[in-house]
This record gives sequence, C-alpha cells and structure tokens, in this order.
Amino acid sequence: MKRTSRNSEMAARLREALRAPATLDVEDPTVREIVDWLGRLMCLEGVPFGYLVPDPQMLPDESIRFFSVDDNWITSLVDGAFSIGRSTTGTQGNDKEAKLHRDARAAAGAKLHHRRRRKLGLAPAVVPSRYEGVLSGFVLRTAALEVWPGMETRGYLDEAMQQPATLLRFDLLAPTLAIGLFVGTVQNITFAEPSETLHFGIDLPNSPHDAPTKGLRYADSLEGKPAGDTLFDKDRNPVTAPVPMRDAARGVVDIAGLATSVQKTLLDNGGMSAQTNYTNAQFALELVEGVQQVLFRIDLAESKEKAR
Amino acid sequence: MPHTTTDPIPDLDGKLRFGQFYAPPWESGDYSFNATQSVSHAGEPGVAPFSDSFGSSLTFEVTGPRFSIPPSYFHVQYPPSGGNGEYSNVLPHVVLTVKTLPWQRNAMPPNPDPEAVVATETDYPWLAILVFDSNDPAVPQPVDGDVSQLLPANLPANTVSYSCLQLETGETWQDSTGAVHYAPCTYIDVPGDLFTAIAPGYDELRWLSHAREYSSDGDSGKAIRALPPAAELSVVVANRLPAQGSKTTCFLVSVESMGAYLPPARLAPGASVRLAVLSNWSFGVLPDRSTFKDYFDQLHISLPTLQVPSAPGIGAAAADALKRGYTAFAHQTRQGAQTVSWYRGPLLPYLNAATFSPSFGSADDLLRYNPQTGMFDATYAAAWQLGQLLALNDKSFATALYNWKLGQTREAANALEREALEQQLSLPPGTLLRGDTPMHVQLMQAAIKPALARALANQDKP
Repeated sequence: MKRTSRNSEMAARLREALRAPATLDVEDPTVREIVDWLGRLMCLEGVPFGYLVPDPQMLPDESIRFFSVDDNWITSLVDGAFSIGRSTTGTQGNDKEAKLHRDARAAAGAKLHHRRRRKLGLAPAVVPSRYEGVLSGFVLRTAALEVWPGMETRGYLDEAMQQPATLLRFDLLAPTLAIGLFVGTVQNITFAEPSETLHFGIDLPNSPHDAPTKGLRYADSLEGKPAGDTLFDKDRNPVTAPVPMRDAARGVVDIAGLATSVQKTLLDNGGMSAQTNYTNAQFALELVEGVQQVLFRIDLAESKEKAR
Repeated sequence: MPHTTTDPIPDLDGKLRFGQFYAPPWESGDYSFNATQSVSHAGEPGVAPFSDSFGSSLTFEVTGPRFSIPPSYFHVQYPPSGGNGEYSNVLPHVVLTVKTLPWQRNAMPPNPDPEAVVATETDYPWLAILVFDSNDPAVPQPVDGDVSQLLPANLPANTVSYSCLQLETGETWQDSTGAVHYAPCTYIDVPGDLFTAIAPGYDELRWLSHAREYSSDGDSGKAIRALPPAAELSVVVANRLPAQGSKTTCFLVSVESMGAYLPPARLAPGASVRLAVLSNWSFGVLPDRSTFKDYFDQLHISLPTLQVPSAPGIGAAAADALKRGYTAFAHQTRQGAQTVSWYRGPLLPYLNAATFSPSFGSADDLLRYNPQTGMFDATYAAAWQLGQLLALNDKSFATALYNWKLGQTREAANALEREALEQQLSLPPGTLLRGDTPMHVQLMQAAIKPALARALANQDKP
C-alpha cells in the first residue's frame, strides 16, 4: 500500500516537473541557432509567396500595396514550427510551450533591428525604438525594379519624416517583385533612384532655338540657406546660367565658358561669396542633377477584428 | 609635389562632398634619388686640406595605370552601359574608386627645358571622355593591340600620339630569347577634325574632373547591396551631350602629355590622333522613355491594400470579407468533403491586435468555423501547418529544437531525481549538485561515507 502511494506520488511529482516551464538560456549555441531561425521566420523569410499574396489579382502588374503584418498569423506560424519535439498532445504541456514561445519571440525580437545590418556586414546601429511586435511594409510589382535594381527605400514612423523606421527587409523576390518590411507602423515611405546615379547635366530648352541653361544652387551657406539649396532671385524665380556651346550642332559644351558663366551668375545673384575660391569643386556642385525620389503617405486605420 | 587644399569644400547635406582634387603623394613615373655628401676641410698645420664628395643614387618607379585600368577601379559609368533612356541632357561621366587616379599623371606636354619649373600649381588631369554618336562621320572602332603601336616609330603616316612617349617599367620587357614584348592596350584612331571639334580643351580638363566624398550611415536602403560606408571617389565628366535618337559610344582615353594637340590647337589637315582607350561603353538615347518618377506615377494605387477587387453583384458579407483581405479557396477536408473556405495571408490592410496565446496542439485547433455562413476560416491553421513544414524542412533547426527540448526534459527529470534522493537521505537540499563528478561519487561523499562513519562510530561504542 505504501509503495503504491509512494509510486503514484512520485509519478505525480514527475509529471509536474516535466510540465514546469524551462528558461531559455540565450548564451547556449543551440538556443542561439533556434532564435536566429525564428528571427528569419518572423520576417516572413522562407514563406512561399502564395501564402503571402494568395490571389494574383491582389497584386497586378505595376502596382504597390501596403500592409501591416498580422501578429496572430506569425504566432500560428511560430507555434507550428515549435511543435517539433512536443511530447505532449492537447493542452497538457501548454505552460511550458507557451513560455518557450514567448521567450523565444522576445529574444528574436530584440535582435530584429540588427538582422539586416548583420546580413549586409555592417556594424549594429543605434536602435531607435523597441520592437513592439508591429511590422508594416509594402509589396511592389513594377518594371522599374528591373531598370533600377539598386533602388533605395526609406520609411518614417511619423508624418513629419523625422523618425526613421528600421528597414527589416527589402528583397527582390522576382526581377519585378519586391517586398519591404519596416519595424513599426510606417506613415511615409520613399523610393529613390540609386544614389550612384547622381549625374551631371544641363537643362535643355523646350524649343531648339533657345539656348540651354542650368539651374543653380547655393555654393556657400549664405542668407541662412545651406549650400546645395536651389538659388532663387528677388522675384522668386530659380536662377539659371546660360550654357555656351562650342558646337551646338554636335552638342559640344564650352566647358571653360560654362564655368565662367556659372561663376558670374552665382556672384551676381548672391549664391557665392566673393571670397570663395571658385574651383572645379564648386563647378561640380552646380552641375549635379539630383536623383528622383517618390514619397508615399500611408494612413493605416486601426480596427478591431470582429469575432466570427 | 603634394598639394594641400585650403579651399572650403562645399557640403551637400553632409552626405556628399565635392573636392577639387585628391593629390597623389607621388605622380606615376620613374624617379631617381641622388644623395651626395661633401666633406671638406680647409687645412690645418699637420692636416692636409681635402675635399671629397660621396654619392649614392637609387632609382625607383611609381607605377600607376597608364594604358589600361583594371575593371575594379570603375565604380559607376553613367549613363549605364547598354541602357536606354532620356539622356539627351546628361553629360556622361565615370566614377572611379581610386581617388587620385585622374591626377596621377598630367596632360602637360613634356618640357624640353630641364630647368623649367612646373608653371601652375594645378596638375591638369590626364583622363578625358570622348563621346561619339552614330551621326558622326566616322565613329572610331577600338583596336586591341599593344603598347608598341603607340610608339612614334610604329605610327602610321600623319598620325599623332603621345609626344615623347617613354615606356615605363612593366610596359615592355625582354624574355629569355631576347625578344621584346609589350604590354597590351586598346587604342582608337580619331580623325583630326572630329577630334578638334569634340575633345575637351587643354584648359577645360581641370573643370571636368573632381573629387567626391560620399558617406552614409551604412544602410542606404538598397535591395541588393549597399555602398561601402564612406567612399572617396574621383569623377571624370564628358563635355558633350548625347544626341537624341542615336546610339552613343563613350571612350575614356588617356591624354597624358597630349596638351599640344588638344583644342584649340589645330592639327594638320588629314591627320588623325591615336589614343589609348581605358574603357568604353555605349548606350541608346531615346526620347519619351519613362523616368523613375514616371514609373511610380503609373502605379495602380486605387486599392492601396492587398485585396481582391470585388466584382459588382456579390453580397455585402462577401464584399466585406474581400475588403479585409480574405480570398476563398476550394477546400478538400480530410473526410473527403469538398467545401470552400476563407484564407488570408499575414499582410493585412489594417492593424490587428495580437490576441492569440500559444500553444496549440495541432493545425485543427486553429481552424475556425462560422456556423452562420457554414464556411471555415483556414488562415491560421494553414499558417500553423506551414510553420511545422518549414521547420521540418530545415534539418539543422529541427534537430536543434528537438535536442534542446529533450535536454530540458532530461534536466527536469534529473533534477527531480536529485531532489527525491536528497529528501530520502535527509540531506540538506542542494548537496547533490549537478557538476562534473558523477552522481554516485557525489552520493558516496555526501551520504554513504558519513553514514558509514556514523555506523562504525556506533559500533565502537560499547
């Protein structure tokens, strides 16, 4: 009698011990591997595209769609991944598995900001905000991705574009299909041409009889304007310098003449101070044509999903 | 020779900075270094006067690209090679990763007067870009040859090339049989009048090259690769605009010591100029090609979020479901029944509160059923199943997770066993620690030995 009750008591204690939640030791290399893999999954890497966009009508050619990531979907996904090695069925091992899930996701979330920088081989940046569990982003299908594969994107968490959002993922899933993920709810997303396509050029006139011109910028920080801002004259028109051509038919620009013309126009309109030594550096600054940038403003509405 | 710039360098948002030049510490070429020491003594009673000088000389070469440039030196060629676009207002340019390259040699004609001092402090760069389009009478074709064809002895009649060309180390060598070899190079022959019309002038060269410093915080938001964090680059710009509707070819040529032939100097009629080509690329200039902004202006944005456009005539409930991002799929249940169920991906058109608490036993736990419509919502069940499949697919992750869980279970069981033993043997808790010594050794030391000692002590007592 005594033995049986002792046995059953032992069995009960053993069951309890096995069910007790375990702590996750993030220094353990096995745990680190698990957390890294989990970080990948939380960024939706490895998820087939058909699960993300089930119907091709949702993302036709030449379109962009914005979204926020469903945290419940990620929870289900991660739970499915953690079901390996689950020795109990039903709800018996619930506390233990739940704690593992929460700890692992918290550990992966803490490293989420640095994922992309680690992939790019850069040093970890100062993290602007904690990971609150919200990810948002865009899916883009356009031929522009093929023409400018070095396209750059930036996200901002606020309307005034003061708080940059950490870019979690910007991958080309196909030559014309890209997905971008930011940490937090982005309100502004910009796309820009690759910055190395910064180029030099002049403004061609609308009619071939007029001479080409070049819009000028401030060469020094003057009148409260930083160097690089567009130069305006007293009537708020952009200041332009005439471009002399050595051979207009062949399109050969008279570079020395252009340099002089730019210098004179800058001095006349207060774009450069008279003490500045005018060199090819200032000339290059004036000749640069910027890259184009497109801005999207997003307003993600908050709503509660009704229980079905 | 080293120049320092004290000119203020214009800033542009702190991210892009233009400079006049990056001066190389040494210009490329052959140098000889002579050191002489004279020792003399006027003479003293008892010491004969003497005057001696001792010298030593050393020659060394500073090599730099001269007739060819490795492809890794090029960062960007704009307009891009093989591209088509609205480039009719663009001056083609080349960005080089070696920041001192355009100023390693100069375009000044060599001065026969050895005493002459370099007249100006600005070294004119030796790189220029020649732009030809298909409307030109004779677009030169690059010829692959070697450096010997640039020597004055091997030039065809009425052709000018680099004046007083002196080959440096590495450009010519003799092999074991005594035959002379020359380094390979590519060159073009440009008709004289075309050259005078389109080449940059001698005093224009310095405006066409500049230094650029680019810095960013590292992640520039690119899809493929990011630029290196800070780059000091040099840029060479052309002086001719591409003509619209034609195929334009650009050549980056060396104009070292060609100063006498550059415009506005006129060449003899019928002469042609032979120049070494360091790089060439071509692109098409077409009107009405979309710019970056045009592509984005054309994007469909009427439905800004991921949803299937709802056809007119469907019910309100279905339209509402579609607006939330659901799609309907044919569903074959495990029992064999055919039904239609809802599915939605993780990319929602609105913010969703995180309400789920793990864990779930199986995918079926997450299958939701709406008795009013009689349809399942397979969203989360599909996600769970996908997670399990992805984990199983990745062997290393699956084994790591399994081993970790197994290890945890074993740990718990061992801890319980230790606790039970301690209780039974009335040991203070924590004696049987998990350590390097095996359990039975610890037991011996902690329990058996003292018990034995006590027993023996009791036995000794009468």
